[in-house]
Amino acid sequence: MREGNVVHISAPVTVVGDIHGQFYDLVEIFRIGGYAPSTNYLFLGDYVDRGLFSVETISLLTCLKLRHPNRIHLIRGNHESRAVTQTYGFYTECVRKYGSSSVWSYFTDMFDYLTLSVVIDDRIFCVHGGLSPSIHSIDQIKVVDRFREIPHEGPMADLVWSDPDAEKEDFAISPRGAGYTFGSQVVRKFLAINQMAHILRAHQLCMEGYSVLFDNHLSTVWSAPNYCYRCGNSASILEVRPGGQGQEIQEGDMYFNVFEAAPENERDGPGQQASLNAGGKLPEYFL
Amino acid sequence: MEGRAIPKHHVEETETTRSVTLPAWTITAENHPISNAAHLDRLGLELGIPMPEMTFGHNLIRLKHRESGWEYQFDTLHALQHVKNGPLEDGDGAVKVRYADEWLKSRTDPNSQTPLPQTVPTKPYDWTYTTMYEGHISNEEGLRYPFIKTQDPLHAIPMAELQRHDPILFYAQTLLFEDELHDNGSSSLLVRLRVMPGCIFLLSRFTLRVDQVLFRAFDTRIYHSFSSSPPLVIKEVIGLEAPYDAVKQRLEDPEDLTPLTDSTFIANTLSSMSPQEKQQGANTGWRGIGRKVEVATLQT
Repeated sequence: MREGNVVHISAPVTVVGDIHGQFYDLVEIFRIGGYAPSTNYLFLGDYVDRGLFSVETISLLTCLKLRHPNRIHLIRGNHESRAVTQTYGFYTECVRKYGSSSVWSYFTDMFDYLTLSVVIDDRIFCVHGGLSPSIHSIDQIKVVDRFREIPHEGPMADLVWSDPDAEKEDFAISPRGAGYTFGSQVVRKFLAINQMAHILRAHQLCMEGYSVLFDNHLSTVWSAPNYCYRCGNSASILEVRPGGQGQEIQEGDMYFNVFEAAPENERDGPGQQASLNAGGKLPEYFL
Repeated sequence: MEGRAIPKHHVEETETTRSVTLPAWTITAENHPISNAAHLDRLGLELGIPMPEMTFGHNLIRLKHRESGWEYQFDTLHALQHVKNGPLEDGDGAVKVRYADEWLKSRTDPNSQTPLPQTVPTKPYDWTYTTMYEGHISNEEGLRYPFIKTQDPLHAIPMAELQRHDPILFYAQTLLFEDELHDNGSSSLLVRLRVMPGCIFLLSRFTLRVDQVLFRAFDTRIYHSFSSSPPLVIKEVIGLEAPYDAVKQRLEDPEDLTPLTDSTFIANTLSSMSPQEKQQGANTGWRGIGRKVEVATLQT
């Protein structure tokens, strides 16, 4: 609550992308990245929905944040929203595990307080989705009223929903009729105006666990391996090293630690549910 | 028919590929992880549209009738070739998200606090990935036995037979693609197949949900009875569409929206609507609504 909309932190810090309720894979992240508080962590949002253990995931992260408020930072993702969690699994999981919707209600109230962005060493801008045409300087983020449900329009919506488009230079409206994509000139201008070197974000699935665009000026970190228990993708966490300086990222400033799904998922996963694992091992009398 | 003999069959299996060899048929199913960035780029270049988030570019199910040489296949590249590339026109069933109008209004209103920036044109395409793909004949020889429209009542898929729990000799399912429509719903194409003592039965199902807007199902069913002579393959294609609320109303528990993510629930609910409701769909003018039956005669 005391945190502003832009929180400034220092490296070393390990940045984590979408988790989507894949609790065993969150534990795997601590195994390979180091346990808190010995390792500092920055989470880029989308803690809940789709995976089987959204409750456990957000509970653990909330506890860690309360216990080590200066070593753990949590940014808001587009799934940290009442509307989205009602369709994508978190609401249903809460009702199933607690017998009523109160716990869901408390968590979604808490989501309203999550910050919108973080800056590492005054040179790496971190957000869940991407850039907004309404935000040229990060000072403009500071004046947004974030203590509310994520709206459909405005800078707050853009920061958690927009996507980069490597084929473009400017902003474009999504073919869905709402939402922006942003291109290389937008990224260049934003970094120049704010004197930063790089943009870190999550929000989009990467088969290899991460993706780097715009001549190493933007990266996507994706931290949910074997997404939805059927994609077979790798995941990564990004280790930002201290001592980095200047307007360009140097080799050694950032390291993508790539990992695969935790073995626990095999024995505590979708199991009897209609999971689409290789080879269709669950015969069904479909019609 | 009771006490039907089990046809000779041999199953082979690797981590990604499963196949069954029957007296007259060889059936293959490929299941791989999602395509990597390089493969996605190649596919995207070839198709000219952004690829679905989860594109299983190497997945497929193939049916081969060895004597005639007829080969019929369901694969991701061909499925996506049927997704509209370009501005959507009459019959394409264009869809926008529910809040599209408000979004645009908030930015074009003269007093807007968040006016539209300089934007470049967006490449138009069907972002719902709606595809009316029915599978395709995948070899030269197979083209000698095309599917032909039929109104013959004898060419109906015997659902009663398929409801029997006869032993399943071979089962395969493969997901060709799935996309979460940027958290505005879900679009997927799943192909399933089962070989029974008396027949082969396949269901290729495209399912679309656009939150607060509509549902679509496009089903292709392939049926072949081993006792048909000459060998006959029946293909039934059914397209359905309905407004989101019409399906939501039919939920057992109005507080539990989980069935809205279940393709079987969606397809069954859409099928249970009245002919009038089916005809109207969700008022998008989508040409996929309707039903047709075709047969291929593998006469050698």
